[in-house]
Amino acid sequence: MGYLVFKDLLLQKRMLFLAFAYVLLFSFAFQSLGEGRLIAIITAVGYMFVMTGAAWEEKNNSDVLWNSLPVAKWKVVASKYLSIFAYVAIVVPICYLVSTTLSLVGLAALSISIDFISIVVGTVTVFIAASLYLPVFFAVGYLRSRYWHFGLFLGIMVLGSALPNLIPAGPPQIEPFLEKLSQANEIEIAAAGGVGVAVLVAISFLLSVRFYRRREF
Amino acid sequence: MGPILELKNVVKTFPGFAIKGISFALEPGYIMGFIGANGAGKTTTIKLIMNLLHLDGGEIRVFGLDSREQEQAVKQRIGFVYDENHFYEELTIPEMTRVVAPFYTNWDGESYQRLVDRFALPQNKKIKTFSRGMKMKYSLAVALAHKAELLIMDEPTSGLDPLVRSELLDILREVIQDERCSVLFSSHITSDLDRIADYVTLIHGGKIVFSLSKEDISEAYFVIKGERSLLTPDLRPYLIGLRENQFGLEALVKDRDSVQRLTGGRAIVERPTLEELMLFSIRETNI
Repeated sequence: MGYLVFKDLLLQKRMLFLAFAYVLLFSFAFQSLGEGRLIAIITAVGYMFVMTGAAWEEKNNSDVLWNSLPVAKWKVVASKYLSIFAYVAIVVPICYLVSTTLSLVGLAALSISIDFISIVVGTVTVFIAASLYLPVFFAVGYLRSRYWHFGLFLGIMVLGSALPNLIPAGPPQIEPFLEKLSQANEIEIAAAGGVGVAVLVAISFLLSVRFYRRREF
Repeated sequence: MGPILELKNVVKTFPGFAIKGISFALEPGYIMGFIGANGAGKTTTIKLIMNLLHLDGGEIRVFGLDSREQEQAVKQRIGFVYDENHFYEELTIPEMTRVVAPFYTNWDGESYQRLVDRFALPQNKKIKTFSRGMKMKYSLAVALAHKAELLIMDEPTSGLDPLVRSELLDILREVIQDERCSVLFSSHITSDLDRIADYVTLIHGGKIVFSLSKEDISEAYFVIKGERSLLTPDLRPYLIGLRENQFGLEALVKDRDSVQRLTGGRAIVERPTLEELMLFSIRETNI
């Protein structure tokens, strides 16, 4: 399976230059996010790698290749999830290089502070986004899954901007939950979040395998 | 030893087209030409063999194994060459090979390198810059480098110039000398198969018209040529396919002796080429 991840990295060679440009662009664009900037950049660029990887598969009609080789379908699917770690491993050094360069040219205010927690949270966020996208990609391929992708992110943006207005007027049933959440310590919140994300990724992976096995090429 | 490839009553239905219960078998060490017009069902059949399409009915056994239940074991021993390139066009061939080779337990790096050298495939150019012939040769190098016992080739020669086609066919002839390997070679260029095929299977409209050895074909089928006046009501039942024009008639027949008797020996009798066999067998005629 490592070779499938290696293949994803080979295909992203051309994206490396673009990744530098995007990191630079997002360093400016996400200024208002403060310490959350690294999380946002890892999420945006990491997810872009996921989408580009999917596009390369479609462009080369590579499903015919992988399904003609002695490779189990679940491994093809799993490699797309595992590649996320490799993508983050690319994005973080790029962030560091861009940040260092910005500091050297006197734009220290724009430089990105790199910390372990942000890298972990950024990785988790890419996993969440990919977990919502990949089952649809494996079910219908890249071209048709783009509609889901656009719909999904439009929905998240609309929901994200509407959420602050919705919460105060939210159902009273969630108040005990919010109260409990405010009393929990950071480790408890992280553990609960970790379990939630792990369940989401596991469900997403199983759905992807199921859909991919049903597909014809 | 049983057939290396065996299809039994294979059914696959699409809106507007169906593979209608086809059966045929390929014995070890032979090349089978799989012929038919465009849209006859050749690629669909090959996709069913490769498990790229799901079966609606029937059974496909490769090396005596169920092609679905033991898919990975079967694919370890199959080499494939398709009509289109499915390798990543942005990669060079050393990069592509580094990705593909580890999946084959029998990968032979030396054989692969010999083939790459023989085909003079460029090492540092992206696959997208290759000609169609070079892409086909690379596919063949990958297919042969893991000591495949069955080569599945879907229209490998279509779109190739005569020189590359001839080279490809020469390599196939060499491959088959090692009698471990069999080839299923789909094509609508029947002259290629005239040169190399041991068996010929004709598919038309999702049905197998015949699946015979070339010897059986040359003993069973004949083309008769003669004046239109030979076409009597008594003769018509003996004709498989018929072509008439103002100068005379040509027809495919099976029972040569009866046809000779009915025409009083006035018909010229010849052995058909695969192209004639295909055209007469599938063309709509008013017999």
